Amino acid sequence: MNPANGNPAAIAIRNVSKRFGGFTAVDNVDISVPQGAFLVLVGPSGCGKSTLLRMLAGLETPSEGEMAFMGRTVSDGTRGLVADAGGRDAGLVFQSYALWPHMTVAGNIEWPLKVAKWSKADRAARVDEVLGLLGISALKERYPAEISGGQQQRVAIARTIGPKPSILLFDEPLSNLDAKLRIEMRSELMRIHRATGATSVYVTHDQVEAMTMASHVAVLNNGKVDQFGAPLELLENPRTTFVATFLGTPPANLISVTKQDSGLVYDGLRLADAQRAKAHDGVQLLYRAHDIKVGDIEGQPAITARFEEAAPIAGRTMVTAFSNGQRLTAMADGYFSAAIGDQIRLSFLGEPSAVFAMTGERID
Amino acid sequence: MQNGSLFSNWTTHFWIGEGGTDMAQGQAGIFRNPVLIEALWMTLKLAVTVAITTMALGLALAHTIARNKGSVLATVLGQVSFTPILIPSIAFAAAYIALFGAPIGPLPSLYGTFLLLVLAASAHLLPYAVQSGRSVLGQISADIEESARLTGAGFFRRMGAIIMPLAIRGLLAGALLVFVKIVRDLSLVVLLFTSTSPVLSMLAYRYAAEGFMQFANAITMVILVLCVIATLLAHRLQNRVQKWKSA
Repeated sequence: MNPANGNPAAIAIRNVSKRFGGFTAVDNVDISVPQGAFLVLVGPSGCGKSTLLRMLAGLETPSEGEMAFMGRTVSDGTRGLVADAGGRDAGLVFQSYALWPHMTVAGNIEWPLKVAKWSKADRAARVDEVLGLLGISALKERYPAEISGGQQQRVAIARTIGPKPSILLFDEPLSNLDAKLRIEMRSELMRIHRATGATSVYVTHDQVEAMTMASHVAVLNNGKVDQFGAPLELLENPRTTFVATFLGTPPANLISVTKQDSGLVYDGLRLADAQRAKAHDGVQLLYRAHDIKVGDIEGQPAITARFEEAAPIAGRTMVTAFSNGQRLTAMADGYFSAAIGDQIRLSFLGEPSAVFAMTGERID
Repeated sequence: MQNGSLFSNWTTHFWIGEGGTDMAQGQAGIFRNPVLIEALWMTLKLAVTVAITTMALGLALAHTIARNKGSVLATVLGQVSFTPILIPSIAFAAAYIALFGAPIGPLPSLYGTFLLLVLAASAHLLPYAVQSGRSVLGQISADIEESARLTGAGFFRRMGAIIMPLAIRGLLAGALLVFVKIVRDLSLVVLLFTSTSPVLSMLAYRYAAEGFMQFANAITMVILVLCVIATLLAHRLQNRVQKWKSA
């Protein structure tokens, strides 16, 4: 993924693995992003995304492989930490914020600059600058315990960008905030990313954050990168069932079908042409929520399912129902509701978006 | 002399009485004993030195144990640092005499020196320091130190600017524990003590050994007062530091 102009990638992760005893937390990860990129590592808890980030920060050593920032090797599986955590021009925003409770807001921001031997005047100017950038100038003299979680988050970000690192690392920074604040901070983070121009790596389990913020997304599953690319590319062309179901709101549906005669059949209902399954006898079909509609539609295959829940989204309603133990998400126009357990009809609109083998990899 | 009134047979003789009287075979009160002031200073000096050295060492050990949790190093350090508590003080002192009583290579014999007292007492009380250090560090999340590490601050800088200010309350409590223990201690110093390094507990022991129980009790009172003052001071200090907590 080196950019065409020949510049080295801002962050290059080459065949990196991390083992803790017999457990492989990160398994042969190989991705790189150009300068100014916003890389989001997304995956469920325990997928190794935080370990990967900690290796980038220099808090962990890779067991194998190499990491390079701007062409400079910073970690190496054989040599350990080539550059110490403090010596790699990278800043990390912790999930817990990790503010120093005995220092004021200004003190928290100033201390890293003091360590970096900035002059007193430069420090004072920079502290005021980042306080202004984050809109927290009024909190300057307060202690971390005296400000709200959202404000602490801003202080943590201000402290990290203070020394102007060329790489910013975020470890699930928004997971401790309430839903409204999270959306606010998301745009705030994007604004800071643009303002600093720093290459960012952002770890989250929230696929919405990945979809809205990323220039590059890496979906991690069991320590491996399932797929790496631009957010829309991953959404439109998922290579595995994991990526297909993990990304996107509302979640997409996977329907297991078997080949019968010339069709792919679910519960006696023909959904697609058998050719799409290639040589496989049983496959999984990907239907996005908006490709399944509540109610019968003339000429379209439909099934009966047991209603579970409904959530209104942007003037439409997202309906969850069960059919043969399979969870299905469909859309209804306007507001829709039913009692739990009610039988409702779900119609499939058109062809499945993708076809996957039973083992999870994409075949069509 | 015994006329039944409550305070009539009380005397301050054992504190400030002049020598050469009929009382106590002509022994003067403890405050007239020139050794007392010397012993008082020696005790204070010893207790403060030991409290500071054990807490510094204890914090460093506790830090190593906490940050290397689960490793062989941490396990071994944890066990070894706990061992002194299992050894009787008197045996500990004997071991130190055996170890440092004679010159080792270029090092002179340490017997009877203040340094030996500090060494033995520090080693003996280390478990208290390590345990209180561990409980204090347990309350400081690893993130807080890692965020300092990412700024490029070295180990000692992190200790001084981040860990110490956060741990100071617990460290003071641990230091007080060590201080009081060493001020009261007799069995450890009884073997290591010489006339050049008198301490209060030794003075009380000497009075008692000669049958002057009242003098010994008076010294015990001095030790008690010393411990109470130290406790009050530590308490005041704890309230002074970490103002950000009460704010």
